[in-house]
Amino acid sequence: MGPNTLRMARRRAALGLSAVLLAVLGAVAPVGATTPTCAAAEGSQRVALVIEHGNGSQIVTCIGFNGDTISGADVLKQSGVEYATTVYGGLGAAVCQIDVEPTSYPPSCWTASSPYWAVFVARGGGPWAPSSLGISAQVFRDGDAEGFRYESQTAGAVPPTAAGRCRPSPSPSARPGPVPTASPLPAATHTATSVPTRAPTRSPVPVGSPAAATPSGTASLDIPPTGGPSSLDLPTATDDPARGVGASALPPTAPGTGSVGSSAADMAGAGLVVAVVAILLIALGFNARRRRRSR
Amino acid sequence: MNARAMLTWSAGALVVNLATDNPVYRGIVVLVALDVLLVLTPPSRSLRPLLLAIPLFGALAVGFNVLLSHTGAHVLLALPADWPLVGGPLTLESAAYGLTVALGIAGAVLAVAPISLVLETHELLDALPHGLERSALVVASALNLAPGIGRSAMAIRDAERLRGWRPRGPRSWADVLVPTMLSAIEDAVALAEAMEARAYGTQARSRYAPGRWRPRDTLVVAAAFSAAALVLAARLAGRSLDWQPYPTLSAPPVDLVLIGACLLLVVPVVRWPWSASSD
Repeated sequence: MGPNTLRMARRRAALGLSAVLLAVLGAVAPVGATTPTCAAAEGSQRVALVIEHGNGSQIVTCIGFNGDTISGADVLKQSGVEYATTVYGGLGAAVCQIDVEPTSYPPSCWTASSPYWAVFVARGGGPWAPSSLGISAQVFRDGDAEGFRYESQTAGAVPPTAAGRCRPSPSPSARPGPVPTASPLPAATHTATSVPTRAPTRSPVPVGSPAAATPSGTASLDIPPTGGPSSLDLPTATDDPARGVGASALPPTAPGTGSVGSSAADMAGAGLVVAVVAILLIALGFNARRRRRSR
Repeated sequence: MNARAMLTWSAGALVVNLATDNPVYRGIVVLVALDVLLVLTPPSRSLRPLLLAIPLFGALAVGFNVLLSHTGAHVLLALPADWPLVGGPLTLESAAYGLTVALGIAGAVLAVAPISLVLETHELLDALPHGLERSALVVASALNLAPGIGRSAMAIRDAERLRGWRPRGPRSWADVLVPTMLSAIEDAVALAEAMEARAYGTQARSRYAPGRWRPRDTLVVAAAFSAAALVLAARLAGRSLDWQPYPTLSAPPVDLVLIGACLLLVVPVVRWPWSASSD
């Protein structure tokens, strides 16, 4: 076997490997997470808001608005949930505190090791994606969702468990009764940029339990816990202070299940990227040497 | 490779590169485009200037971003805050974002580099629709005159200096500019006469060696279209194509379908069994 034949055989083997890799990649498609739905809020347009605390409890609601778009800051503001922001470079407002978590924070909002509020965006009922902008610069349209998850810096950007999508309001007769109201939340430690809004009414509803009651004109919301779908009805967040704000506090999701699965997927993804880059670099070196010889 | 297939590949690579700011996808596009250039560029043409310029511009992108963007949780160094523009913390996150920008620049340059390095001028002209051929020929000729005008200006300046001319402010440059303009007009007239003598404009442009369309070109076009369509469809479907290192550095998300889309761009350098005899 001459050197040219050997070279050709090696090249064909490498290319065959690449082709197999391409075929595998083409055949594998990630399965999108199921998106829960939340019911209509006041206003002709609706944006879902999901806030997941560090302990796993969630506030999920729909925000109604009129007009084409609404900013992420306005979504949070209209929800009535306590929050505080700081201006963070040219990216817009960064969220330092939501619903009094954390109870205090440094002037820079977070430190190199502290947990922080990660912001996510879901467009048109799609999956969560990390937000590339601060909430003041982020624009939402009808059917979008804004998500916040309080997470440690070591965990990576894991989106909220629930994904919101507003659906038409149920008929008045189908709407259950009022939601028990929780006591007001304590004031934020830093109030310089915080928005002193109405404390949200909270309805601690166990996952999978029957729907909680809401007053008329409210929204229903389905939030799938880690184990399976559940349904609960929530009041609508509106600008009407007399009606309060809809929110629900869910118990923490089952620890570990989501993160173990996602970390395994992350590892597989990282391994694949390393393999692809290695193959490309080998091909690059091979072709560079071949070109040098031919010159 | 057929010029139209090469142009389609360049457009596809450019779309993939610019539709995302994820460094993984951009890095793969850079490696694939580099591979395509190494294989398809004729040995007589040097890649050295391009391969030197890309790291230089990449380093500039990283440096500018580190110095001018002060956001991010991991502070590498802090410059005095009273220094204009650059004062403040220099962060790992801004360096990572600068690297993403650098990969974007490198990917864009490498995606369009085959147009000048792999293809000949006449191949590009042949690849254009018939309606644009004459306009393109005029533009190409005009662009070819530009270096000639530069050389003419240098020669006139040297000749004027030998006759005692010394530059004394902007007005004195008229002594060089006027003869340069006159010689440029003369060159243009000479070129027009030469083209007319070769029957330019009397009929459709003739071709010495019309480019052939091979099955491999069809594959390249299909792969480039598929890659661009996959990435655009993923963006429209709301898949996560973007990556932000702020406020704290995290691993960029990886989507297998999008990696596959980037790898589709490698098709021009794949040697198919049936292409060995035709190439």
